[in-house]
Amino acid sequence: MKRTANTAHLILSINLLLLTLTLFEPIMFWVSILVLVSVLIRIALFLEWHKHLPKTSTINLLALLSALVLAYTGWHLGLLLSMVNLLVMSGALKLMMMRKVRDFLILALVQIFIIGCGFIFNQGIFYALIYVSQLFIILLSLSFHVSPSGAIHKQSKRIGLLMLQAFPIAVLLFLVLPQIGPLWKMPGNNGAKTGISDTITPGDFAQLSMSDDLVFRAAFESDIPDKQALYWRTLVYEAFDGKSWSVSRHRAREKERMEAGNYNYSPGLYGASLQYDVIMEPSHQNWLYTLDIPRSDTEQTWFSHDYQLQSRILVTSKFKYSVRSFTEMPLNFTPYYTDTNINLMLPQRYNPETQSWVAALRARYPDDQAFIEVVEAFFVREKFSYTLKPRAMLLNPVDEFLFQYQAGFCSHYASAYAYIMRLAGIPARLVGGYQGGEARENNYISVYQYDAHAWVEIYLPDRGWIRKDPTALVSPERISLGLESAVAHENSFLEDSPMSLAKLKSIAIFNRLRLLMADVDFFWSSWVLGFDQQRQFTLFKMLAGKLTTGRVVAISLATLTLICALLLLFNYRVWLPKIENRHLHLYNQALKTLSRHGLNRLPQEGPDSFQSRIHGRISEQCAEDFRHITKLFIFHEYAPSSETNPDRLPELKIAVNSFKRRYRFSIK
Amino acid sequence: MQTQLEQAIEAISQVVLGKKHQIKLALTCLLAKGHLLIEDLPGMGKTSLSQAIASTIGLEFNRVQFTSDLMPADIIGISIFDNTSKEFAFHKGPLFSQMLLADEINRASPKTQSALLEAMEEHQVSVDGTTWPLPNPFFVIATQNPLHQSGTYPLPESQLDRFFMRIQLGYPDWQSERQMLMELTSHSTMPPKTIIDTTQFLDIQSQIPKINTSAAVIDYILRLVTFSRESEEFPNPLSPRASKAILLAAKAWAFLSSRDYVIPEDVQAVLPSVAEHRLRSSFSSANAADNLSNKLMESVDTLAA
Amino acid sequence: MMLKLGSWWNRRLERWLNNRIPDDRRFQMNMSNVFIFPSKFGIAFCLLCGLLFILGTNYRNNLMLLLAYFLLAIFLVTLLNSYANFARLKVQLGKVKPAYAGSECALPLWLGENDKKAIAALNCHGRLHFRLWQQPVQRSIESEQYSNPVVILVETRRRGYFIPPRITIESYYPIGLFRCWTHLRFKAQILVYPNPIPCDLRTESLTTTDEDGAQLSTSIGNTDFDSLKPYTPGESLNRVAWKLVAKGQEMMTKQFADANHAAIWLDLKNYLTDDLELAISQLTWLAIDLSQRQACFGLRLGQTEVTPDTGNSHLETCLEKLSLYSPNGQAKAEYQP
Repeated sequence: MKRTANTAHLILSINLLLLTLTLFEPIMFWVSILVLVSVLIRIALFLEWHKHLPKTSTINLLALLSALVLAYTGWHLGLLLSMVNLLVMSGALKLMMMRKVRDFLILALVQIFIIGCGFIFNQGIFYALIYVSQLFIILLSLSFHVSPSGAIHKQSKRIGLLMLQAFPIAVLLFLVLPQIGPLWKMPGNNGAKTGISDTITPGDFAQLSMSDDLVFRAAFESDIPDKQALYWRTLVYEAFDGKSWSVSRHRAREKERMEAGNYNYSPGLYGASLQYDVIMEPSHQNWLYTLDIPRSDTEQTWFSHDYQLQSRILVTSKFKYSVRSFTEMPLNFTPYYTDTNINLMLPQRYNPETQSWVAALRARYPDDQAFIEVVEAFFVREKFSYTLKPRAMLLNPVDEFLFQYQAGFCSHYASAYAYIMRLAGIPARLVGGYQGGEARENNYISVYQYDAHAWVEIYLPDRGWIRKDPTALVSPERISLGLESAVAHENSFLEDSPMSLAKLKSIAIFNRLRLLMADVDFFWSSWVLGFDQQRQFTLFKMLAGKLTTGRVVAISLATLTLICALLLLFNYRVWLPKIENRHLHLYNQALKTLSRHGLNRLPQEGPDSFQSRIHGRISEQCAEDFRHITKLFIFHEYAPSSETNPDRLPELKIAVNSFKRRYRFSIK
Repeated sequence: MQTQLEQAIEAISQVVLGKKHQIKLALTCLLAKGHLLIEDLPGMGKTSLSQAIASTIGLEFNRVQFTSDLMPADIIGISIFDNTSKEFAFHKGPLFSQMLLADEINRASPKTQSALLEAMEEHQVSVDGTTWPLPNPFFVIATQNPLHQSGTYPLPESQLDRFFMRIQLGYPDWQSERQMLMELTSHSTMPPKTIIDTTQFLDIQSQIPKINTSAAVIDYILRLVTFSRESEEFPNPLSPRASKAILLAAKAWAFLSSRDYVIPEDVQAVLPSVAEHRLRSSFSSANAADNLSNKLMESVDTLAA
Repeated sequence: MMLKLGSWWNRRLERWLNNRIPDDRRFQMNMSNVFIFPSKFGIAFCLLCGLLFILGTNYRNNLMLLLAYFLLAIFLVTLLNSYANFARLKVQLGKVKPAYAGSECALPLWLGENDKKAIAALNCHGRLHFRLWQQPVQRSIESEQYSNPVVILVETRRRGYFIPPRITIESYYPIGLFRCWTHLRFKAQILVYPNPIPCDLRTESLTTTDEDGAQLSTSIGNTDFDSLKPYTPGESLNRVAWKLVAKGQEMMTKQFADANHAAIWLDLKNYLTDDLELAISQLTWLAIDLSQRQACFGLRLGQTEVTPDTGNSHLETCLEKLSLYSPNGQAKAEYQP
């Protein structure tokens, strides 16, 4: 193999390594090592430390081994991750045995495909830029393959230009081509579920509060409501086993039935409402974030009886949906028996102390309202404190929390509160979600993982489901100001990530930087990642007013024309050659004027001989003028430039222009 | 200096009437340090021209009539054994002159021809292991009869480009011939006076390479030679040596035209003399219609498109 | 059956090509003679675009969709780039030297500009592949480093005029998504000399002089030293053998052999057996051999006659006559696949 041919190979090899680096999370460690080894082999070949590729049999053996390991480990990775690992692995193996042109081209395609898969895992603007440069490198490598001995700066320029030219076309296609919904369900990403899970053990949320990852952003049409009102319902937990709360199996079955039957719960909603768009980060879950009571007309969403908005497919990439929430509607539509049946179920074991305490209390306060007030007074009266570092409560969590440690996190309070209510015969359930968010002036708020929260809903027969937040009783600042001020006394906010920008809020410049980045990301999310059918329609409406078939066709045709025009424009040099010699260009213009009158310079004639040949055939003045032009041209073209012979382009320009004007019609 | 050269041209044209262009070409050739081949029928004034040039520039002149029995030793010289001193002494031949007129070079045997051509190329001769430098300047003006007569040896194609230029004199026009005849009756023709002495001439020669050539002219020459290489019409394409010769000749011509830069017309003026004998495969007489260098010029635009 | 279909298809294709790209000495690429189609890689690239589109749609991943559109846009842009680049190519057939039958004939192709612009470098970027019609790639050149002319070799089989087959030039510039190509047939009649076959000179063919073949060598070179004779006063001193004088001998004059213009006739009828081609081949060999030994020879082929002479151009004339000889008159140009 020639060394020159290797440049293309080398570039592609190094790119594979970089690609693997951007995917360090989904890709297994041993696959990365495989990639590293194969790239080292290529580098060794390029530098001629080593002359031979590994034997085909060796590689086949390696491939077999790798496939076995991947099949074994991939069992619990899930289909998507296994596929990505398989792709990268086969890329590495292909790289090791790249001999033919075909292998090289296949590897290039595989790498482009890996970039595509990379967008499943990383969708930030930063990653998008990285992947664009990776694409650049792949195209550069292809360019080296086609013209191996071209200089690198020329080829880079060529590819850069190519990408710049392709960019507007891609944007046009993106804006205009119809956004169709998912055609079928794709395998999800088992390993990377983020955010709230479907089981809460008190203390769990402490993990989430360690993370400053973005969960979603919401852009309101009107002003952003008060923080206290922002309870983002995400998941409802209705089963309690004494320690953990989880989604009730009964409820899950009901939902499955409803989804299969395509039955959408649609209560009649009226009154004050809030309109907002949510752009959520991929969670690899179904559930969406809403304020009560939501209604959404976004495709692929549905609404269930626990007032929960869900996506029909797993949210594996940024997802944007618009919601109208009727904030003042009571939650009293659901059939009583289901909700109460589930939400009165109690585990017999655990927490005996609480059980007896509640039984005694209930006996004294048979009225629901009075009982609730007493319990809440208990939380306020006792020395409960809010902490991110609760003690481990293992045996009887509620007992230990209520009577022993009296310090905990929102889930501790919610869990204890709901348990107490159930013991007292009041239907109660846990709601998981997010509370609050960071508002920006332009009507959007960002909600981070550390905003995770759990609260309680109790059912009162006359009023329906009522939100109760015991955390607010203990630590009102958690609700009004957010987690950071709630735990300010113990400095535990984002303790494990010292470099987090959110932690540097107090330093003005960092905070501004952080907020700027958030703005950029918001724009990116809402316009690029969240661009959907709805937005497309809005855009069309903006362009064409009312959307009639004719106008849509017109828009499509206009786009097509625009693309064709762009393509032609990019190659304008083909029909508009560059003027390389301005003097010659001017002289030729003068010649053109003469040739209108039948005086053509023969190709073999030099300027001087032409001038003297036509001398007698044109008027004295014209001959004199042309002599001057010829003289200037000859001086520039043939005489050395010096102080005595400066560049007299302006003079030539004037002379030629006046010559053209004066002798357009007559030279006699 | 240009005035002196003009005077020289004037003086020579007093001897060879009506051939100013050819005289200028001959001088161009000498200024470019090249050797000249004059091809024409007998009695066209080849010898007079050479003689006149030699005396105008004040060069030491020798003439050798080439015949079939002429041996290399006859022009180079020979080591003769001196019986008294008992050793060899080199007797220089007619080659050792500043200007050698080799008349009817194609009458001599190829061996003699190549001895001459070798000396022309190397500016020196080696006899019996001793190298003898030739004088400086050293010019050869060879003449040859274009008719393929029996008993002649046309110069081999491969050696033809040892001559920088080949010119033809042609018949004089009515006026010039008339004047010539008139003068013949009135007074005998005298060789012209020396106008430029040898040192001056060497000085002029050294200035020729300094004449400016712009990229446009060089590109024009390149277009010409490239066309000769690509087109089927030219059996013998022009070599890089030929393109060098064209450029040098054009420079000398520009100098003779009192210009310090070259224009395409200079190239065109010298091209037929410099390129024709290189383009042609054999010594078939070149008539105007079948002139390859003209064809070349007509096919190539003087200006870049 | 398949073979028949194949040859029928080839004939159709050839006829169509003859109409579309007529023979010429020089070609400037343009709409009518450039073909462009996605290469295999280009098709795979498109399929990848489609796959990414489907994935992007199903995952509701706009970035993936954008990537798919971006790749599609690159595909479109390279389509025009590829064509615009290839359309800058100019090809001209240079001087073709006659070849001997059975050997390869070199077709020099001159690329780029020649008459109008003084651009020695090729305007067309990327690698260009050259091959004969339906043959594997013979030469690949790169615009950044090549020198005119690009020589393509064609096998010749029979003597006579030979019209070279179509030459395919292709380019995958800029990134291999498209294959731009053209099939050019150059208007040229290439003379193919007969294949020389060694044989003896038939002595009876030396007709004009009484000398026989053995004397060939002495007839060469007419100024060679021949003998010495005693010096007679008046003879040129330049011819005295001075080296002998120095040795003390008496003065001798060198004698040189005179020119010997004995002509040899090569006559076809002396070589003719059943096999005309063999005889022609043998005559070819003899002509070349005699010419190398600078002998003066003439050629007689039935009615055709070349008068005795020496030199390269004489040899060329003889070889041309030999190439085109046919017993019943005219030879015609033909394609040799």
